[in-house]
Amino acid sequence: MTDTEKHEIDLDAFFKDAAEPLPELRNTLMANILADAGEVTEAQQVLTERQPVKRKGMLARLMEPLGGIKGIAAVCACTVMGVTVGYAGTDTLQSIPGVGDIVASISGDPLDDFTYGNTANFSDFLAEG
Amino acid sequence: MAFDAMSDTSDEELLSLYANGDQAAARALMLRHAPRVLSLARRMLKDQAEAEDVTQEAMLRLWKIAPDWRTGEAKVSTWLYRVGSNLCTDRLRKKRGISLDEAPEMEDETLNVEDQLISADRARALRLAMNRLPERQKLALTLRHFEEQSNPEIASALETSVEAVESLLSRARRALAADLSSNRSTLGLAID
Repeated sequence: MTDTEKHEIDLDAFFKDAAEPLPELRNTLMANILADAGEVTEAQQVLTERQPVKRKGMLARLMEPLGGIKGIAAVCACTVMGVTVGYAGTDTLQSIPGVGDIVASISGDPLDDFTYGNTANFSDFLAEG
Repeated sequence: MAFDAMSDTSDEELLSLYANGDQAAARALMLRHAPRVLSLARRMLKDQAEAEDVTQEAMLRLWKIAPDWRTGEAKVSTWLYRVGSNLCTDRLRKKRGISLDEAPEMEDETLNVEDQLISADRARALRLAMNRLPERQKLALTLRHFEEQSNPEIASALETSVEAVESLLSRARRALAADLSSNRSTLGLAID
């Protein structure tokens, strides 16, 4: 404290005289405070228990056995590819960039080696419909 | 965990324990901090019952905020002083129905000077002089001199800057000293 703040009075001495020990908490006050603490804990536990579990949508649940959206996408891609090759023949594969070289490297029609019931190759089977 | 075993546990840890349902931690926090809030409220409100209400309410707010308490952001004691002083201020405002800025000095309890002349002492004179100060000045002085809070802690409790607290304390001391000086003859005070 500066001299000017003292204003001819030693305030610190006054504060020292006026200082009191911390008050004791009455039993009823302590009981009330602890009761509040218990109630707040209970209320927060109830809130936590009531937190809704995030449920998956119906579509997600239907797709789950097939591996979810990734599994479905793979199945669809394979289906489209299979149907395309089935209808248009393996020649169409050669028009696909990158795939054509692979197909060309295979000599002849690899599907010709596939026989159906030891009587006809796969091309004949397709031709018969 | 028993309270004794928690005497070395930090406030933040106790709050965390309480947030996880440990009622012994709540008891430890109460025994550590509630008396200080009660002391502040008694000085501000001069009413034991109201001071106890404020203490209970401040502690209730602590229980509620416990799960969201962010360690290192504020000291529990400072936070409680802030809540306690705000609750006291609200009650004083309601009593008067006007804002603090417009608040006049407290009711003069020194009117009965004869009594003062008989039983005057420094402590009583100081309390009475403080009662004539505006609330914020009184609050700042109480936190500084009776609750032994630092200026930054007082600034946090009053939600203002350290510079503003220094100014507040300076004005409060000047007003207090002037008040005590002017009354020293009537109060028969042994000043120095």
